[in-house]
Amino acid sequence: MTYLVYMILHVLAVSIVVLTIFIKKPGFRLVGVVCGAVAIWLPLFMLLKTLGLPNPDTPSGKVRILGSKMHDTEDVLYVFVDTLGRDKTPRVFSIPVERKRYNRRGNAVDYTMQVVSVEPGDGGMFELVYIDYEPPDLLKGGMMRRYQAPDSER
Amino acid sequence: MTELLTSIILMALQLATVCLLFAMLFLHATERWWLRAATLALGAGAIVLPILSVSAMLGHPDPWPSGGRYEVYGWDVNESDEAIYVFVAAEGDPVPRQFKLPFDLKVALRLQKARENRGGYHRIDIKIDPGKNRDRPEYEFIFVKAFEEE
Repeated sequence: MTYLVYMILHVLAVSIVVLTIFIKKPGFRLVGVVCGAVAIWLPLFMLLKTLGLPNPDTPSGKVRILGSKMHDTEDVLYVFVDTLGRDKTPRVFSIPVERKRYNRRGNAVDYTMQVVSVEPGDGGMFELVYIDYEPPDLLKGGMMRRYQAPDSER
Repeated sequence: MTELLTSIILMALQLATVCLLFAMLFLHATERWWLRAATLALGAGAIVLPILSVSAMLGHPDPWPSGGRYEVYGWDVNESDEAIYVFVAAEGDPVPRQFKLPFDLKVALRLQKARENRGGYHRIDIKIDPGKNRDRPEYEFIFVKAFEEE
């Protein structure tokens, strides 16, 4: 909601600046300058206000679920995920998931620490598909830990 | 990290487009068709770029959490980044959000213990106080046990 309000304000501010460029009147120019100044700062406020909120895009590839919460009234599941190697910062996503399906598993359904991929289901909804995930073996192929490496001074 | 970089680049481009629009505002020959086309293109860019920039950062943690009491739905401890990421929702707010909190070894160990014994807790709350230093908010986890100890 906050995101939408800021976005509408931003579109309005930029549109007024563009209009004032075409309407050559001294008073309008001042309005254009004020709106331009607003258009510079609004995206920054928008970014600060929306940091931490769920991303409406579904996560791509495999993700490990660190926590989840179903919306109180709508068919939306919020997931807190580890992107498995993309980087170390977890992300929050909102995924349209059928409430009946979620409830059938019981509200105490524990997705936590499960590796899943989000796949499209019926009627614009999505499904969480469990993956039997094996973490990469770092010792495979003759790789060794630093403490296992031969001492170069010897 | 890629999203952060993309967002910074898009923000810089947005700033540049608005500055160019400012320049157009004081240009006196906007009757030329190519200047009009350029103005419209810059206007469209100034509208679209922030949308892309903010969208790229949606879902990332907020390092400056607002104060209050929240219910905790998940967490991730990252000692190398010296951060504890929490997935929380305020009372009455159906939409949860993610906060980044400063690392504390005692809290990290307590959270590890809680993860090993998830069924043992009725709920976990967190009380956050932004404090004087906005970069290091103060916080306290409140563990409500499912069963009272005898």
